[in-house]
Amino acid sequence: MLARGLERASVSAMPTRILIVDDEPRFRASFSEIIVREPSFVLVAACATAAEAFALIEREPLDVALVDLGLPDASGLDVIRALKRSPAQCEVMVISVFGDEDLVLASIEAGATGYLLKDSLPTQFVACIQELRAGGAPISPMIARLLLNRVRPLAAPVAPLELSERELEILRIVAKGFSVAEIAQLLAISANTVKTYVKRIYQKLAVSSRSEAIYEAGRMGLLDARVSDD
Amino acid sequence: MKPVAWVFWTLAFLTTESGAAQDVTFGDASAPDAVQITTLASNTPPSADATWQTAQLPLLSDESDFGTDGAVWLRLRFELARTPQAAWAVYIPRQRQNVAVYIGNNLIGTSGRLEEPASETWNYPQLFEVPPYLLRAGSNEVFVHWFASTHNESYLSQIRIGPEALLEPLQRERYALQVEGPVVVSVICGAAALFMLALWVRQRRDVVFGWFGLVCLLWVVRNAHLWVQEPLLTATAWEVVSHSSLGWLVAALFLFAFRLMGLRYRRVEFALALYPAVGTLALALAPDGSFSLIERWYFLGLLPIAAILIGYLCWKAWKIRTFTIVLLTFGAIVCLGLGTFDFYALTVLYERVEQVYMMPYGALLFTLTAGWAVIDRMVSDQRALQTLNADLEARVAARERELAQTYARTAELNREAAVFEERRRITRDMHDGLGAQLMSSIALAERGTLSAAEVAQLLRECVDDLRLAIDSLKPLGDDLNAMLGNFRYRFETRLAAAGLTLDWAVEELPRHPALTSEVVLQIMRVVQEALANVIKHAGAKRVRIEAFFDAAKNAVCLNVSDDGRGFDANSVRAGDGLANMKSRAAQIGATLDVVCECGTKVVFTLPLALASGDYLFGMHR
Repeated sequence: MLARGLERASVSAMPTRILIVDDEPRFRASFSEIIVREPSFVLVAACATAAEAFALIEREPLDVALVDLGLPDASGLDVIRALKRSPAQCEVMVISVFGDEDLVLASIEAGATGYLLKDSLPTQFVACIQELRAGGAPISPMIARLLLNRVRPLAAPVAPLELSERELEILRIVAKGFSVAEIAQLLAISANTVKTYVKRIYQKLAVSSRSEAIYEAGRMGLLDARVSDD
Repeated sequence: MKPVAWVFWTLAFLTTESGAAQDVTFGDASAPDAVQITTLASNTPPSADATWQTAQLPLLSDESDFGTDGAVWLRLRFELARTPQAAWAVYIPRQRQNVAVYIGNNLIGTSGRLEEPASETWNYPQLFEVPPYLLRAGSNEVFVHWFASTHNESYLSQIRIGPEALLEPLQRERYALQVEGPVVVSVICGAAALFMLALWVRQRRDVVFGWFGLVCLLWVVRNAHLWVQEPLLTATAWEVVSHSSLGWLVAALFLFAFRLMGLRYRRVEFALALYPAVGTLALALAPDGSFSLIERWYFLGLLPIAAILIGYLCWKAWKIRTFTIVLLTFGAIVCLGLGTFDFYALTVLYERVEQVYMMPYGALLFTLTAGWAVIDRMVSDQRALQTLNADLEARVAARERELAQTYARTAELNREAAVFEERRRITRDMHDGLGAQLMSSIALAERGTLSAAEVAQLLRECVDDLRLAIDSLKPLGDDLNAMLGNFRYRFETRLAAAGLTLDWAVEELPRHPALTSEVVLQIMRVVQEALANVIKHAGAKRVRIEAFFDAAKNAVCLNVSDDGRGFDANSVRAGDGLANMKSRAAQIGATLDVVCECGTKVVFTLPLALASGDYLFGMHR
């Protein structure tokens, strides 16, 4: 508890170190500009390729990474996984043009905790990053619906997502189109708490997809091979 | 017809190896094969001074030849050179009704119960053991007390006297042929009858089984008189049943053959049934003493009937010429032959009373050949059924393949149609939605009067529309709640930037077949346009979006209302927007009205009349 409080305090005191990975120069430029203008943010780098990003991840400590999925040399999902594996443990946000739900879900499974639309207003952009730093995550009604489907999957190969009653309740309300503020009011909790719940749901999805992968690997005999290699 | 009596005294089967032939002489020196008979009524062998007459065996007579007690005494004399060491025996192959045998005054045995109801032992060959001590060197006397039948012809076969060791095998052989054989045949026929009748009861349509069972049953009845000693019926009734059954048997046999060969002759069949019916009646009502005469005429009549029908069947069999039918016809011919022989033996043959009847063995032949025919038919039926099943299965399989192909083709066509429809919709959407918006934006931008912010706003609106179009192509594109929610999620910051507070009053809406993604997209466009108008023109502080299902009207209702300065229908741009929204609503069969109260209220109503019922409230995909 104490440690976490200290961490929070230090976070607010220190600027947020941000990495941008996007192959489109114009977006890279406009994002960079927004970040540079915000005093609490520090732009560590703006990479155009996954290779650049991989090299940077090794060297630089990062707080937040903004990753475009459509990179020329690798999938943005690979970059997300590399970021989550790195000791920096930074938060990852996916940059997307249309917030396509399938891609967003795949990103969350890879470890991302949020996503940004490319046509967001600068104020939204900054708010989103700050929210992420504060432990929250954005969620759209469509994503909420897709997540609810994952709780009770119709198709066999997907492992059911195990959520608490409260998390389910929040997903259901989000799916109906209510805003975070309205949900907070409805459940008599703070908006931040709602966003924290959302982030926790995302993390569970990432964990469940990882364990699914491990299960799958074990089933195919890959895991044993790796163990014996060790 | 004057009753005839013969006396025939047979020297018994004293074979040379016995060595006893030289030790014995039979009968009177003048007539060595004669017996003495007397009709004197007596319970013990009559004395020598009774009126003895010479007669010859076998004896056939009716009651008038018998004494007042319905019996006759026979006396047989024979000389022995010395007293025998081993037992002797008196052997009588057939007797009707019964005999009691004495050596001197000593009763050595009876064929059965003598008093009424007398035993039916006529077909049982009798062997009476004579202990050596009853015999003496010199003259010996055997008395046979012969009891007449009260209801049918009576007879007494030849009587043989000799060492038991010699006579016993003869008796045993005859017993096997006359009694045991028919019993075995009866058992086989009875079993076949039970089996076939049970089969017929379960399968009434196969009348052949029924007829076969009936024929077997009648064979059992017919053969019963050969071995049943104590019938449950009265003697007369038993005779009627035994003898009339032969006619019924012949009738049933031919009906069976007709059915088996698939023939049907109603009149012939009726006549076939009529003959035994009349015969049975005649036998039942036969006056005293005429029973055997009627019986013989009845049997005689059956022979030509059977012969004609068998001839006809032969002709038919020759035409069909399957192994089974030929076998069956052969069996029928043999039966006819046996029957004819029996009849000949019964009426003409001198030694007839001793003749072993062969007809019972015809039953065996019949059961085997007809059984084979029935089994052959069952097997061929079974095979036909199997072939039919296999054929049917093959056809079903072929039909299934065809159906599967048809389904696959239909599915492919449906998929193609769906893809085509989707493509058409996207194209139209691009054209009517984004395309039109971009064209008008270009037109506006080309005037050069717009600021950069205004151009950005125009483009933003284009992107908004593109988003809606993309959303509508997603799996949840026909989920109005999800679409509304997503729209709100994206639009809320814009509303906030315009200083508007959103009042969200969206209830759970039904999933309905009428709510296709195309319809939902049009609804969303109307909502988007209404909200855009509020942002641009209303100068409002609050905007309220209501969505609910009106069960009374069976309609989805959507209201967008604000607290702004109200709607100026005369304004050109506002008028354009309104007409645009109205035309979108009209495209999907909805109505749109604008109400001015304290602000502006856009009232959108979509009746769900396309299909009633089956609303899936609150269902997620």
